[in-house]
Amino acid sequence: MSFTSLEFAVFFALFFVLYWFVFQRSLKKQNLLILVSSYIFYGWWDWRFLVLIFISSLADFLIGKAMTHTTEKQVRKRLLFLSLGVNFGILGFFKYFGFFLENFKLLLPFLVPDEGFSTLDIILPVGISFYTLQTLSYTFDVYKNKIEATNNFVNFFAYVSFFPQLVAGPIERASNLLPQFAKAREFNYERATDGLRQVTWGLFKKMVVADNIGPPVTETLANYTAHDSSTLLLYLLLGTIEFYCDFSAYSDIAIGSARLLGFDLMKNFDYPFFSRNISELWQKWHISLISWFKDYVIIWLKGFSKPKLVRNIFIIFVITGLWHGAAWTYIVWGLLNALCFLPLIFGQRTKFRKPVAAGRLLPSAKEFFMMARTFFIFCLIGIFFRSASVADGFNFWYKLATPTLFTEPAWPSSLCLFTFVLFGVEWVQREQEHGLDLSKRNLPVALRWTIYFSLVAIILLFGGQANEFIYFQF
Amino acid sequence: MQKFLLKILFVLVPSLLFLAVLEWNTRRLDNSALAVRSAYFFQHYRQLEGLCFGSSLVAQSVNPAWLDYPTASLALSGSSLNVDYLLFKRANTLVTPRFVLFDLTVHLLNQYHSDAWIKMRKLPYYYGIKPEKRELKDYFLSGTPLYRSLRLSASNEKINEYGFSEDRSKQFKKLEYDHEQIVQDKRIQKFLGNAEPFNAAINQINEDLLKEIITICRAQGTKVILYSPPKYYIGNDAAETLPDFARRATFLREVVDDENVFFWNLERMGERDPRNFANINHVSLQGAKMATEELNRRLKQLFD
Repeated sequence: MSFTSLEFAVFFALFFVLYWFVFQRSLKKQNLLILVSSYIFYGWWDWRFLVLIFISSLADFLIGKAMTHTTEKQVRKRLLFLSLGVNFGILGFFKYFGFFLENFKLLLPFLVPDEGFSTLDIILPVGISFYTLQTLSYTFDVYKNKIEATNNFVNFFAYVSFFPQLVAGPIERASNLLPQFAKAREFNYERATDGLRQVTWGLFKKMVVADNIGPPVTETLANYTAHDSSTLLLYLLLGTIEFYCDFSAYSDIAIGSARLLGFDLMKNFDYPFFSRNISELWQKWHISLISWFKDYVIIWLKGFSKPKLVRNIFIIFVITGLWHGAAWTYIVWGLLNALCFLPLIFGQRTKFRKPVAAGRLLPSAKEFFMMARTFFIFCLIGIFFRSASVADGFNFWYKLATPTLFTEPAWPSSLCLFTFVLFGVEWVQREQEHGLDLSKRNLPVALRWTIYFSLVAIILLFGGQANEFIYFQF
Repeated sequence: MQKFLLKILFVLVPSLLFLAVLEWNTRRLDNSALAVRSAYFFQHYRQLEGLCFGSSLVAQSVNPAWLDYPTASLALSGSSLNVDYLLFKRANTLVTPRFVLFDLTVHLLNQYHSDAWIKMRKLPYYYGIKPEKRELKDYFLSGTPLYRSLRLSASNEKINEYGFSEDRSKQFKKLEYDHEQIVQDKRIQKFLGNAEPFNAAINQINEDLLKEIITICRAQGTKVILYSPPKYYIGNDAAETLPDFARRATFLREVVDDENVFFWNLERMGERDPRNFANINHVSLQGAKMATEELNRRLKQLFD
């Protein structure tokens, strides 16, 4: 069930009524409702996927409990590895089996038969990479004594399958989300209206921007050999904007919906296109994933000397690439991102603690140049995300650098003009929580309602053909 | 909570009302060629002798009004053979025609549309084709983007009762039917470069579907005409370099017997005259007249 479907609108409306009007007095019932609804939400794609999420949740629930019954370090460590084995076993089989088999076959062809395994048609369960990391974060947190293992089966299963963020994040930490299931939740008007505004902004980004840009971008970039460099460049930039709108929209809708239910999820995107270098960009893009790797992977790789920092960055980005998909293109994409950090590590690195041009309407020329450069580099690397092969990605770069770069490109449909609205609004709002966060702006009521109605009208009238969220495939 | 719900209703009620009116208006004024074609088919299927299936290439090049045999066009923009197969199966439950015509333009065997496409084109609504998975939005005629529904008007004088539309792309007209301008036009270059990568599995699926159609038609005595309408020559030249071209030739050698199954290839007909074309692969009205007359002549040879 996609967030942009009518089914979800009806599902959420029914859920909202039951949650706040029927079960509001019982936390247990509210949590049970969340669990049942989340399983319905997930099973809507394919009920068989439910078996996997159930096994994953059960394994970590039992392992977490077992950890509390022992103080022996060795036993706890073994339990942690058991959890890693179960979760990565499931993830590895469904996501990476084909990839590793294919590469193994290339290296040692005599060991892999042509028939049999290699023809297995494995379906990738929606969102498996997201909930696997979420359930693992629980085991890690229990192992490190950051939280106590829960005895509440319903709360834990609801935490793993919580439908607003189940399929495409933000990937929550057990230490942040799980305790929220144990606390009584009361309806809060301010938080609910803010949640609704964030949902609306997410719908605008997905339905109006991403869904209108998506089809022409996919078509053009898939046939890149036939186009002028100027056209390729234009569609490369649009493609990156589509990715951002698609993915960050999901996070906006997830965070907004959760807030309507009294939950606080972590921020996943923080206006990444307004970054002055690649390091700042990665602190603002898919925050929950990168911080997960920092918290649970880098922590094992001790050391902060420059060479060790380089090693850690390469490890994080190779894993990030591989997490996105079982293909060399994703690994190259990760490596290229890591490479961009080298000048920052060995050169002069400025740490940006405030948003660009904080307190000013316009950036300085230098800031503008830095943002444009970062965006462009990110777009160039991003082509590997879409390429069919690594060679295709490099060929695309080669195709970009021809004299036709200075000719007029083939312009896309006028609906792509909403991209300017997106950039305009996000620039103005870059110091706020989300694009429609008006809580700190003292706007007249009439103006606020004009903004709401205009956005709703634009979404209804100009929403493109509903495409699946890109990140569902990861 | 009360304040929150009131504000939600303040947005939701007008939005839902607007959508309801839009849907009602879309159903009332639906003036699309697809609506006319489906209406014509269901009103006249008892008298029909011929059925045409295919993409906009067929929809724009065959005007049933100019044929001497009562014919309905079930063609629709962007159609693929797997969609045509579903339409054929549906139509065949109501009528056993003397001939069926299928678009077999070079890229057609390489195209396959998903259930989502079938639903997006509202085929369950227009022809009663059952989708694999029905969603709530499939019960509505208004499709995205909705602003298009605001543009509907009560009648569309450019569409005849068969659903043949005079409305064409103005691309060649804007380029003054000038060959030099056509060759240099960026959009045309972009179009020529956007051929879908060859997919053997999809070709196989479509070939199997066509073979099934041929078997059904043979059994009921219906002639199968595989047809490729005229295209501007640079489009034809580009198509001949694709692997799809050789694949189609192999398939045709396998199925065409010139007794029950025919391949009427009009691709190169009038290909050097830009005035026969609205754009690189769609004929102009002049081109449609030329193509339909040729079809009529061949049908007469076949049946008279």
